Amino acid sequence: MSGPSDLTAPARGARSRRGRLAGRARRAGRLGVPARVWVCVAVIAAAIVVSLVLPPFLADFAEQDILDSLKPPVPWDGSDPAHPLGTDTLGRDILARLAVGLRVSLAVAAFGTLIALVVGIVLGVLAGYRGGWTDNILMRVADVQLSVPALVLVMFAVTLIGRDTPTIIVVLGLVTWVAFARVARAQVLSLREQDLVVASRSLGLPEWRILTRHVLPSIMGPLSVLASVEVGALVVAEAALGYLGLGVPPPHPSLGAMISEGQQVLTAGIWWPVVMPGAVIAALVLAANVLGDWLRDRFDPLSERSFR
Amino acid sequence: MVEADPPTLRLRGLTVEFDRPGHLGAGVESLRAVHEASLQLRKGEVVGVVGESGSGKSTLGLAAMGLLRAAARVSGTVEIGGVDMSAASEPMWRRRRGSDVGMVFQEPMTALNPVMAVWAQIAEPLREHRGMSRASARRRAVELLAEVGIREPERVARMYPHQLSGGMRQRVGIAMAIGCEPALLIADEPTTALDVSVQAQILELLVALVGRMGLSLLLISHNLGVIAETTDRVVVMYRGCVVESGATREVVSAPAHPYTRGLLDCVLSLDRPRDEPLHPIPGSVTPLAGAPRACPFAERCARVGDVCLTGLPELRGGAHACACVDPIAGRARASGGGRHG
Repeated sequence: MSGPSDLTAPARGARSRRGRLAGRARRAGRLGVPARVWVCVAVIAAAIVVSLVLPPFLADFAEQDILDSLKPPVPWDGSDPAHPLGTDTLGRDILARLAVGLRVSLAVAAFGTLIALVVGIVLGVLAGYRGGWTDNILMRVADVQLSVPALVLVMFAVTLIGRDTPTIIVVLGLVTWVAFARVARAQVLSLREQDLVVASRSLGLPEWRILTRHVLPSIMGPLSVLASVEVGALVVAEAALGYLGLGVPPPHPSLGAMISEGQQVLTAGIWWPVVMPGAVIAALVLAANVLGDWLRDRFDPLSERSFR
Repeated sequence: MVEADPPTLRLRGLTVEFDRPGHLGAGVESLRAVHEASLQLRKGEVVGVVGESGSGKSTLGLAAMGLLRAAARVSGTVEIGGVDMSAASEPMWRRRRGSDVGMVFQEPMTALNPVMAVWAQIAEPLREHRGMSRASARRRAVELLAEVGIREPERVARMYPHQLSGGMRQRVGIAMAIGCEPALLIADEPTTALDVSVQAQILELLVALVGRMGLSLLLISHNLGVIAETTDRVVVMYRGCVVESGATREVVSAPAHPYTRGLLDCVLSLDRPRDEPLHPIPGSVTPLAGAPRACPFAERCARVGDVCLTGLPELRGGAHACACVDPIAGRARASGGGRHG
């Protein structure tokens, strides 16, 4: 056994550390994660569960019944318990359409962000680490792409290629890679001259190994913040495409298309066909942004709430 | 074969220039970090490079590792183990780095990967250069930790850099550098970031490794005390130029260049009387904008004369060489650094 001083010192340290953690936990809930973040996680999880699990138990999203058209949601007069969120102009169940529409929405947001993240990281890291003409060419391509409004580019591509979900995912992913590439490049530029990279090079490690093992883990913080914000942005982008009639083709529902269809009866005081999908979009985007905000605080070494 | 045993490192006329954009994007300014530096290390030898911040000593070390090829213009020759590497491609350099030449850095916290266990970092060059399996590289990593004087190497191998003390981190850095048993170790300010008591231990370890593994050590430091304690020979650099070189004992006891004398006068000791004033070198190091046309030290030298501004003094004197038109003679070491000539 070591001497008494060796035994007491860490114990004191551990106690004060526990005290600090307890203080943080009281302020921010279990694990130091504030309640609003749990709410965001719950919103996103609920959206995933609803879209994946619920549809088989709901009415057919494409089944039309003119007699049942424009039923209000449940607590309102004239509502039908078979359609808890009401029906649209064609008498289709809004809850069922929301659930199925969410599938597309979430798939586009998740996989689109994934594509943008992967493409952006590969190209951004390459540009930042290699520098020189590699950097010049890649960043000029990024500038050119940024000079064209993203939605115009997407509309053009979707019209040209097709309107199925995989196409929308790939197109949206390829339109948003620039943001990830720029952040990755900036991070790598500052990391490149730092000891860790120079030390790895002094050990004769191959370039790809330095990049994957030593550079990538250090730049994932800011990139994950960007990814969570981008998820929200892609939910909106997919809805915008649907609203403009360029989303997945009918009768398959899309949140955006539901809003544009419901809009026709909005002036007659029939709000639910617009408000229901609108609320879902708003909740998802808000959740993604609050999550991103929190992550940014946690990854900022100067912030009081940082991981460090 | 003229030489049976080629020097582990030989630099000849090494010049390193960095380009940086001029003010308001006006053209390109080129800064000369190292000018025509030459030095040689034999097997088992410890050579020190000393100078202030900005004297080009770290740049010299990085250039000797071939690590500046993308960032700067490097000319002159770098020979490692008798092989001229000046024209070597990056893959050739990469095979030699970590395997024939190792490097130890100043700040072990930033040179280590914070999210990788200690053993995995030591194992990386072993797997890369020696083709070791994961398991045998891990075993070797634990052995190396023991070799650099870490107690309980099994336990430390599983830890992460933030769990280690500064001295232990530097030992891990050394273990990484010597893993593939290189013939040459370049240590760039290896003790500057450490406590004084730990500094002595790390220096002791480095010197012990030189004896045990028969490697050559290039020790870069701004601290003449560290250099005097550990090195056989020393090279004094100022503004990228080698101004004095020779056996450490001779250079320290009888400095010939006014700059070396100035550095020695700045070394503090506990037995110095408290009322005796210190004698810092006035001014600071300014980078060279191109090939020097005068003595680089002229603007700060107390002994400066007209002849000093007419050209760059050559390094003369064989074993104990000095680049000064008016070297300090004799063994006397009066403090003050005033006019003697």
